[in-house]
Amino acid sequence: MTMQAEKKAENSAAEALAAEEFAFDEHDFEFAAQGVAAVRAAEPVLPVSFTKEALLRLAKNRGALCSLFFILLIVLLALVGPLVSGYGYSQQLTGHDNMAPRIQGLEKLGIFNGSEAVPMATGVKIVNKYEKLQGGEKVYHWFGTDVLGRDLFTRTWEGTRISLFIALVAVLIDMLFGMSYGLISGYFGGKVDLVMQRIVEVLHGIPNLIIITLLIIVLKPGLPTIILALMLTGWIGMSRVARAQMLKLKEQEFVLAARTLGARPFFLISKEVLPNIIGQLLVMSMFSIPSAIFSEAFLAFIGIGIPVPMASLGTIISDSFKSLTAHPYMMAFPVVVLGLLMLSFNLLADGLRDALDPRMKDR
Amino acid sequence: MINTTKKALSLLLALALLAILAGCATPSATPASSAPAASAGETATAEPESSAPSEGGQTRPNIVHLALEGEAATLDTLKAEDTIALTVSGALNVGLYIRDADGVARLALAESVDKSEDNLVFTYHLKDAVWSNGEAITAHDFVFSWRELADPANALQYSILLRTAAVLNANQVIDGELPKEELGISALDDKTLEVRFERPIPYVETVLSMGSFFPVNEAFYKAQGDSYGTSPETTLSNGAFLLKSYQPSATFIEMTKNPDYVFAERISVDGLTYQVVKDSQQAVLAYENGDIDVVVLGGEQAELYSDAPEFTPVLTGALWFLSPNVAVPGLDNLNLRKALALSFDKEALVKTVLKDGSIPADYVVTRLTHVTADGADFRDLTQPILQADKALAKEFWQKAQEELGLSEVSFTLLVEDNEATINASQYLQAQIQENLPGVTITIEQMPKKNRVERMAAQDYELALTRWGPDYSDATTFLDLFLTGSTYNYGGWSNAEYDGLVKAASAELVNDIPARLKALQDAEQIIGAEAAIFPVYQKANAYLIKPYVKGIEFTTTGALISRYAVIEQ
Amino acid sequence: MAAYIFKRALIAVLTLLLIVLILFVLMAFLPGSPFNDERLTVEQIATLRAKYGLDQPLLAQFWSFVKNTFSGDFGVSYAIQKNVPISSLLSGRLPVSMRIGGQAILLGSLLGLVLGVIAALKHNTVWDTFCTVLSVVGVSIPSYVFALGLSYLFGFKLKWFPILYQSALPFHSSVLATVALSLFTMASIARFTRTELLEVLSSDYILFAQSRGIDGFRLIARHALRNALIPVITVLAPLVVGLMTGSLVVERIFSVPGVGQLLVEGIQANDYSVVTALSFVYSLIYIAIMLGVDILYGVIDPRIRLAKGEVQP
Repeated sequence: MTMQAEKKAENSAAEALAAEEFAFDEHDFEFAAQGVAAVRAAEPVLPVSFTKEALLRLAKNRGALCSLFFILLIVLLALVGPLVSGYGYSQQLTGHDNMAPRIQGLEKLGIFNGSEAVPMATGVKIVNKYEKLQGGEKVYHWFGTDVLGRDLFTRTWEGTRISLFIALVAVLIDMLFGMSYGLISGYFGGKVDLVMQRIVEVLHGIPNLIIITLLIIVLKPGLPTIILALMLTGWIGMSRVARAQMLKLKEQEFVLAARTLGARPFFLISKEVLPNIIGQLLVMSMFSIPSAIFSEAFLAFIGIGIPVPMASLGTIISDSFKSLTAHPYMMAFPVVVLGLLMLSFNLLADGLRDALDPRMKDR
Repeated sequence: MINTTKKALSLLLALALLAILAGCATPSATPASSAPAASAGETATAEPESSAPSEGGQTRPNIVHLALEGEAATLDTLKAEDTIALTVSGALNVGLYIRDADGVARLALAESVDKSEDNLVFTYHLKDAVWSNGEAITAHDFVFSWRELADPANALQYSILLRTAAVLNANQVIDGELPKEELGISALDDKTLEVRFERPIPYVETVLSMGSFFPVNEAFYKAQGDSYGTSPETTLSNGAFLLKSYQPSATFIEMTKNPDYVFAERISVDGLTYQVVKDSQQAVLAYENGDIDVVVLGGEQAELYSDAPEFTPVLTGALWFLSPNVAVPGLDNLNLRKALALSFDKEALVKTVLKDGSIPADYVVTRLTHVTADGADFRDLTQPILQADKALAKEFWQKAQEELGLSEVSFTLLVEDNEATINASQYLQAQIQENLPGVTITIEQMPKKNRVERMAAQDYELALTRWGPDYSDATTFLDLFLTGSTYNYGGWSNAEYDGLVKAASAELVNDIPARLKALQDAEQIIGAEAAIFPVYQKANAYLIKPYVKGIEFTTTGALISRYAVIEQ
Repeated sequence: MAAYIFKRALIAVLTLLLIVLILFVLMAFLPGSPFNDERLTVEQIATLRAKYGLDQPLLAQFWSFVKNTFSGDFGVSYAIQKNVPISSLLSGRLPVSMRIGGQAILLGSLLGLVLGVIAALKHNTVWDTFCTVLSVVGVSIPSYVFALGLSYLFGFKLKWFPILYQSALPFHSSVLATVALSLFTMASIARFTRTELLEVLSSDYILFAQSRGIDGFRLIARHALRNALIPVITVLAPLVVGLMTGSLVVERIFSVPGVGQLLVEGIQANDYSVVTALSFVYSLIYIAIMLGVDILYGVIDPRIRLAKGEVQP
């Protein structure tokens, strides 16, 4: 380091030090040898348990509650939707191709009555395929049908199921593996960090697509393979964020203090650092949901996705993309479901972040 | 202290931004000045007036703008193998023959040809044509390119055409048993070319009109080495157009009219451009904006434009069919194969799924492929095979169940990953499973080349595959299913069939009616044996701007751009 | 510092070599061969494999790749561009991808930063919700849908920008592609800046700074944003690599002659040399950026003191 840089560093460190408010606790000056027990004892006594308080705070957040409701609703629909529509997700009905949405009740209001404005080259043409279909007056496709005459309501919820599953696994791997990896690497630093980061670099330095394609080609194509392939590198982003957070926090005074008191690394990481950064990590993991869902859709795009006629939200969107200008309704519903899902997850994450942040207590 | 921190901070922020910027600013300077689609090293490339068609300008530039669905893999006529490469290199080059919309091969670089009485020796007298570098096109250019084509060291896949044309010693040279100098082609002098054949082939001229037989200037070709065909400077052409801007795998190609082209007087436009557009909806938007004059429509777009005056469906010669691997248990059963072949509704497939003008195929030899001397299509003379019949299919399936002692079978269907094929395969899957209860079809999709590779290794059960005619004769299809044919991936074999098809290329060659009968009988055998399950004959739905006239299509469905006319 | 950078650079080169070696091993597992045209015979395929040295043992192939790469020669493409030198393929395409990627990063991170700061400062207000919704929509809409929408609105209806990329108008015709690409970056940066800034704003030293009378823009820019930047850079870095090496989807839709499509086509066609060369370039950029980020960490936040910590462990 040059002289100036060193001086600069000193200055800001001094500034940071000065900025901290020190509220000494009577236990702060006990001997380090007393270790974990001492640090535990040093934690201020809470009137209610941490989890309970966090939940209480979450319950006060209207946005988060709303999101939770939507997530539960979507999960419920994903579970029962395919069962109540009366159609199979791969069932092709002859003559039912490209039918616009038609919903009982709403059709009387002039919306969702099965007619759509098709932008033909010679001018917009209003088409109602239900009228042309024999016995069509009794047919209802709530979300319409696709080019092969499959009911999109069934397919959307069937796809939501698979996408949710992929998202769930993505978040789990992110939170369990990615986070621990980053925290450990960041905390220990030095040689451990060097080796762990080189492993990440090698893994990340190979274009993702090659690893994923290879796995899918070598193993049997299917949902488990796709999830495995996505997860193999999916955790890296999270690990990087966790490491950066750890780097930022580990030399802060409260961590130093705990370390001086002899706290073990595991305790330090999980009890001192984690609560401070879990918010950011949660938000980050919410972002891994769309990226996991879209990675899967991208695989479908290049022909190694979920085997047809199975569907995921991503594959339905990328399939109906091809008819977007002709039949926009095909894409509308899955995109709305996906968007709602993303929005809910994000708002919930925000709420969780606020609820879990120990410093938000007094606000 | 506040000042130092302030300074430090602004510096840091600037640094962080710079780090981001640095990555992009440096390279961005380069392409901005030397436009990437332009040739390397050429400075005067920024000529926006030619590449950007002006909307609503006073006069329309006399240039036709075409779309390609992918990049050309090569501009080297010897290596060009896929439709796109053949299209682009075909605009740049011409050979002994040229094939127009009527499918007839006419002399191009040759003034005249003297055929020996037994049709085994053709002597061509070449025109005084020149390469784009001004050198004369000589008989030696043909000798060089044909020998390169045959040279086993080059391992060119279209060397098979030399075998098809039955050029003397082609088989032995390609197999490495004779030196390439023994190939039946020689330059008697600079302007006289002699080609010798092993046996007369009635459709040989259409074969010789293909790009692989185009001449190549040896000195230039060898001087450029690996760089041949990577830029206008390293490409030599002799066809209707000359390369103006190109780089390897360019998404935009510019060509100008070749004033020295042998039929230059027939070329009306000043040039043409090829724009690669892979997304079909973007292609249509670009067409509507006037950036592209001719565009192929995807399924849903085809539906939207079906009543537009510029909608032009063009039937190609390509047959899409299901190929059963007869070595797979179950598929060796004739009744099961027949049940599968009859179980799907082809009419509904082309009407509701493909929508691009494709027609149901109840045959092997496609419409437009084989036209007799009196102008009749082989299809109109021949009975259909394997017409869809769900009731009959069920009967065959019951028989098959009894013979096999099974109530359920399941097969994997290999499909390549493009929209139309995937949709078609899902349709077929649903139809087969619905009409033959107990049959399960699992679709496995993959890139086309992987599909072909899996099929060639006979590592498949069912595959949705295509074959496009190489030349205008029924044998371009029927040869495929000969015992031991490289492309007979399904492994089906029938001695009577082999006899008929081989005779058509040997003893029956000059006996037109008997040859026709043999070919017809052979096709019927495929039907009776359900050796393949024909599905549909592909059509492409084009949109052509009303002011662009003269776009033609070959009988095999390829677009001919050279006679395009831009109306003002 | 210089010693530290040298050491990191050395490690980076070793990492790169390791990556290339792994690539070679991975490629050996890829089923099939680049020579899979419909009409090739078995003998011809064998000839071609020998011609391009694919019949050599893996390590020999690796070694000759390393040797050639250091002399700037990536070999020739086998399948997607027949026998064309890859260096000439890359020299035309890589700059286009890098430029558009760079534009997208610039646009995305600037917009993202602004949105994130607004959302954090106006925490729990309509502005906050608006920014959240905007950024969530940003990650929820697949880029191809957004791209087609842009091209329909600005290319077809309003005719402000060309629909397809034109090399004669390199900036003008890349605007739509840039915007489509920047969406995800913008959304990620916005979300992340928001959470980070909220975190920082509630920290003691900001309270302290406020109590010293520092407020408004100076507080945000000097004290808060600086600390919020580290994790943001962490998120940005991998995005940079991804964007600079081209996006398949956006390049495909706007017909951009970039490298994003080459990689996928190379993998699908088993064009090993193209895939290896592209991966090498990707890894090179990746490792360079990671190196830069590590050094930046130390610069932005002296408390990390990477230099000190690593040179003298």
